[in-house]
Amino acid sequence: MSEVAEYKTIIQIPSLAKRLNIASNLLDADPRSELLKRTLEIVLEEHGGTLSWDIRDCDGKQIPCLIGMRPGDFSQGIGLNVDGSGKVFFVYDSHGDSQGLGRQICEEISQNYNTIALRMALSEMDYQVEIEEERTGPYQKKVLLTGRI
Amino acid sequence: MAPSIRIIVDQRGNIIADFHGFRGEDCLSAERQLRDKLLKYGVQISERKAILKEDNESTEQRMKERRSLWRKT
Repeated sequence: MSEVAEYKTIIQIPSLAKRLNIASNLLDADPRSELLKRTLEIVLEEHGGTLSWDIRDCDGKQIPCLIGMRPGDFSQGIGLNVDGSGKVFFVYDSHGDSQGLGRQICEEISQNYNTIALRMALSEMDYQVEIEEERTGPYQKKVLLTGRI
Repeated sequence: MAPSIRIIVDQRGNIIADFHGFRGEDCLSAERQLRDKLLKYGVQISERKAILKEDNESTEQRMKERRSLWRKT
């Protein structure tokens, strides 16, 4: 028997729920926090830019966040915060972003986070994992993971 | 055929996982295990759709069983 399953996902890190503004100290004992930081670094490798702990709105006002990034092509920044259950959500000012680049970068973060989590999950299940990427547009890709015993 | 899991992560982060070549209902436990591991790494599944497929081998086996049952009756 075979099964095909489709999932829509959210990133949820309950240990971050109590941390609303932690300046430069996101890394802690929870490996999921490190995974999140690593994901942002991977996205920044493509876009250029730096990690940050605040973003700016269209008026230049500073808005703090748990962790964020200032991509070279979206300099006002993308922030990540968590709600009371640890659900991670994105914060950015979309004013003037007619191309939808902010949304696209958020999707890239989700895709990269899920890819790393899947690779780690399959390895833990004793599968040998191969990863292939297919470019589908500027900064856009489809990722294929194959796990074999 | 050795069991394998082929997974596509689309540009929005949605996941399509194909559990292929498993014996019987082992694919169901592999899927459950994958979901548990993903949760451990902070990936919560908010929506899930799953389709079961009979592979050729089990379909052939079922045909044989039906034929032998037919002969007996």
